[in-house]
Amino acid sequence: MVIFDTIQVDKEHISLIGLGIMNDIDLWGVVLNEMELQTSRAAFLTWFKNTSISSHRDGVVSVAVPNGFTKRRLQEKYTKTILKVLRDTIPDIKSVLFVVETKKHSFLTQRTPSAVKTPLEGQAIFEEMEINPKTHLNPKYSFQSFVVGPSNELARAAAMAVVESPGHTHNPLFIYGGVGLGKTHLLQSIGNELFNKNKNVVYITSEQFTNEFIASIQNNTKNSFKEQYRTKDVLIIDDIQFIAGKEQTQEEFFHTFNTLYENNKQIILCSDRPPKAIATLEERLRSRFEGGMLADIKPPDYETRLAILQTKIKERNITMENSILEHIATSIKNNIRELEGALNLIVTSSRSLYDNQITQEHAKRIITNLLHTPQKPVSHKHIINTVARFYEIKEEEIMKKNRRREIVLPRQIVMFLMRKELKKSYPAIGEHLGGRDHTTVMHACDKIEKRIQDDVMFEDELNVIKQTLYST
Amino acid sequence: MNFSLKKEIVTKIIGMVEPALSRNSSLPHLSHIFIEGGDNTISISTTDLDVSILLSIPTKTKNKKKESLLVDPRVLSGVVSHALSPVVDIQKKGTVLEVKQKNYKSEIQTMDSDEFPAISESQSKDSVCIPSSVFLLALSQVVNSTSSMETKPELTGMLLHITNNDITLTTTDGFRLSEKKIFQKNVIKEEIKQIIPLKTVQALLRVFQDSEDDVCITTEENQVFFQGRVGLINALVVSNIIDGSYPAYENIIPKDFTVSFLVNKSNLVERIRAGSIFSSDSKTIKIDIVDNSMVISSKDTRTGDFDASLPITIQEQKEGEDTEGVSRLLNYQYVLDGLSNIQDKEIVVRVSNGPLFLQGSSVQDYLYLLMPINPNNT
Repeated sequence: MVIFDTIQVDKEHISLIGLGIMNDIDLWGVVLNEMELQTSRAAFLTWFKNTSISSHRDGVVSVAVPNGFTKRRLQEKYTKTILKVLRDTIPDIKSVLFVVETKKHSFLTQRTPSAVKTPLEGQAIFEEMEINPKTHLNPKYSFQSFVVGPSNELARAAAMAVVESPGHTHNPLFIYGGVGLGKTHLLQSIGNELFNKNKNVVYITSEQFTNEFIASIQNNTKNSFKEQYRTKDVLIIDDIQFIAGKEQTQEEFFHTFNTLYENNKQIILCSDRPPKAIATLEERLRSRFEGGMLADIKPPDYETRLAILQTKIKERNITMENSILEHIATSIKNNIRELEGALNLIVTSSRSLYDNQITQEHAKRIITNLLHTPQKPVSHKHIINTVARFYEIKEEEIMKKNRRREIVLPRQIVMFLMRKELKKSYPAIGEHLGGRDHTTVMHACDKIEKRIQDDVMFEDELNVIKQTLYST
Repeated sequence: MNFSLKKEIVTKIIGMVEPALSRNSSLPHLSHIFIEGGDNTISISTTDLDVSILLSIPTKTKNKKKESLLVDPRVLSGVVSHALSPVVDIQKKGTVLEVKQKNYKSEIQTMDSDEFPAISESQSKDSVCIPSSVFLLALSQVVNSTSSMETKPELTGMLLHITNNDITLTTTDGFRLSEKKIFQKNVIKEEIKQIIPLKTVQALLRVFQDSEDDVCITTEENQVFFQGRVGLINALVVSNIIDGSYPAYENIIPKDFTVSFLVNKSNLVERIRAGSIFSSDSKTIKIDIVDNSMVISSKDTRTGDFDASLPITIQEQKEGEDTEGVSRLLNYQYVLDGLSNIQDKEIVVRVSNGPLFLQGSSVQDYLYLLMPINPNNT
């Protein structure tokens, strides 16, 4: 690596100087040339390496130096000489100062290469540490590692289109779907691609946005908060549904959204449900979300599940008989996180055999255990709790005699789910819900059945609720 | 420059400034020690332009004139250590440094101190002071976990994070991580978060090892200053910081554990050392949790195999998880490194799906995380 070339000051240069058109690189070159003549080779190489002119304004030349020691040295010993050379070249220069500007590769001393401890084969790394602290993007999420199937191809196509022309094709892009289906993976993949194209990207959850917003009010740093998010090229917010019901945050987000949108900056959002189903979301935000591209992700079908498992074992350099993968794909249907969980469990428990043989019987046993002892059994209480949370109402409301429309629908859904998922009898369901008549329950179930047939969005909503039921 | 010092003090001083000597620099002056005497103070310093050490000792100087020179530390140290009497007289005589006592004299060639950079104290008044013993213990607990790969320079150093309520030291190489928290209230205008080069940490451990006083930390521009007294010697270590952002490692500390248990530390260390005999190639040992024991095993086709167990006290076990027994393959050196950083007799081991978590059972200001080795199925 050549540190710098010495520059010949010839007639041409002098005439350029006369015209005052000399650039800073050439100007510093003149200084370096002179200093090399005036100091010992050792001193020159030590103190002048990695120095350059940082700025040159109003007769003041700012010299960038790699560290504090160099700064002090140049200040103490060489200021006069450097200034003289500068003034001889450009008489308008009045003063010179030195600033420390550490660049990425400025390690002045030659490091004695220590015995580089190469990690052992198979040594795992802290994965989350790969997360970029400014963008919050994890490089492990990419389009290459995202398995496509009919359940997510629309969302993926929309995502790729956004990468192609951010801010112009689908703005905002709103992706929704149940838990553990790959929404975050897709969002972060978009982020990583755009980051690699040198876009200013940030990925956060709406909870983080809310917390930072509140903190900025408390610390009186509202302006820097605004600056931070309104100057991005790409804003990605995960779990946007949590912004519902928070007036001030929604207000702030509304303004952030508009600023970005008006400047053709890309906004990507995701949620566990479509905008229509986010209850306490302000109308003006809802209409903006719906004004962009909406894409849903459904639970993966069998082929996709199998493909996902095959991809994962390939990534981790594990060999497993396809019949075992098929068994897992057949048995675990709800979401990808569970799929991965089952895979991990089988792999790690097989380590108790030194040769890491993953046998069919062992895998079958693990899966049977998983399916028969769900971590949280779905009980009638669980259904009431999940539905209540989804619609942001209190559980008691569902039990009481309240006839408000916002309560009636959730209550009917609870009845429907208890019938469909728990196979309870109509009278039993009536009992669970505050002593209601069994005919009321029958009526509710019919109504919901019919609505599922007629309303695709409603069917989606119900699927998300079912998903949440089984995943939490 | 003309003064007298006890020979042990001279030897100690040379030892203290040694970490900042530069072995191969474009400037040969940096492999020398700078000595300045006059006006009842002797100053000694070394620098490699990443870290500098400056020591000053109040000493009766036989003339007030301030003079300085550069001398080869090995030569000076050799001459002083072989002197028989306790006190040596040191004097600058032109371009030589005369070191003598009764019937013993040496004139050591010196270099001009002109080329040596002046090292000065921080101008800032804002400093955080910690008792040396506390600070040095903390440094020693994290120093073995840094990375040596220059491709990620941020990981080759130690993260120093000072807030109003605590001081945290963190090191990691991506495979294991050490974090130590010193709970101490500090009055600072702004949080300090800088990456300190490993060399500096090693220098601090050497310079302040016998200090019974505080070490005071200040930051200014792109440097960090550590100042404190070691007996009569006033010591200052100035260091560059490593430019870069330290990864947000808080995310990797697991919150969910399959099983947590207590085990006797020294017994575990012995078992692992025994197991390592059969891991000279693979460097791997296996641990299994079976009932109330921890089994440590290793094998090597050439040398043989090993199996040992230790009683453990299970504190917590996740319901319905993996009843076949928990098993992990680990780099035994990383395990030993972590165990050597914990002082308690008993340690807490927590097994998660990701990293293994180690901590002292009673003193919990230090934690060690270690990623396992994934079995290779080729």
